[in-house]
Amino acid sequence: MSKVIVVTQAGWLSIGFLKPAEFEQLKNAGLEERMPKTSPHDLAKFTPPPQEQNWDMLISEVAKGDESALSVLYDGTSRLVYALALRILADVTGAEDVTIEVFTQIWHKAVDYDLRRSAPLAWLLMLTRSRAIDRLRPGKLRDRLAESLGIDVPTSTPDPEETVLEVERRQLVQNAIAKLSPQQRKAIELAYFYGLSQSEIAVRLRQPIGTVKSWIRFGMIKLRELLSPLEQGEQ
Amino acid sequence: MKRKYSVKRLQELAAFYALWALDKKGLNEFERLLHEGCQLCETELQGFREVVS
Repeated sequence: MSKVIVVTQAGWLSIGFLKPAEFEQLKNAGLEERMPKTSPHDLAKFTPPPQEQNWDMLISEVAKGDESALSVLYDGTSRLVYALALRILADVTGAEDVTIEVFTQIWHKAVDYDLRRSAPLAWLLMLTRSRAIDRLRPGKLRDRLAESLGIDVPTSTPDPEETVLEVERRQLVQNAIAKLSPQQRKAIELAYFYGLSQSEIAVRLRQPIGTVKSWIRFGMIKLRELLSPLEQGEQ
Repeated sequence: MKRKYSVKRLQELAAFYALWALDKKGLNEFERLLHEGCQLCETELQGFREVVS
């Protein structure tokens, strides 16, 4: 695990924790062009990319059927979409497919976009996350969290080729999630599987945001503690 | 003068960041801390990322 400068969730540059292979994938995808050409101190300003200011207008135009607006939006955001898909899937082909799916979805669903509910970038990343997670194979991330979160995920039949280690791993994850409180599970579910932000979760659960923050903080700490034997075993 | 953060606050930011669920203000805040070299932020984030990845 190396510390590198990467495109961040907000679309600008920061320090990340990509593994070398993941970093190479991002570089191969052309994302090195977003790397800093100036002093790291210049990056501390963290102003949004200028084009983001126009993304909501572009989405409005896409909703009217303007193909050129979709093209401009694609040029401005596709690398962010791809980077997120790649992070979730760790698969170049899958990330490319997700990117195409997301922009296809934008073409068809732009009319439903509501700026008051989420910023353009947040909406794009939410679509990306949803698409990418849908593509995750059984036994990966979805199984790690979904099965015990009480959401609509089919229970997978054990693969006959699944190793003893994988079975133990799955059991450990399921046990860990089962030890979360219902509120903690629900809040994490809404963040992770539905892409809601902290304020959106608070609205959805009709709870003060401070309460939601506590649920998620304690839930994540508990998962981290319970899963630490698993992570240590992988190193 | 740099703002002082409690461990609780940094854990909150790191947990939500790992879940990609920070609002924009928190996102800017946490990424600025990472950029400034906040070691506790990095440690907390790495631990939470191992949970969700």
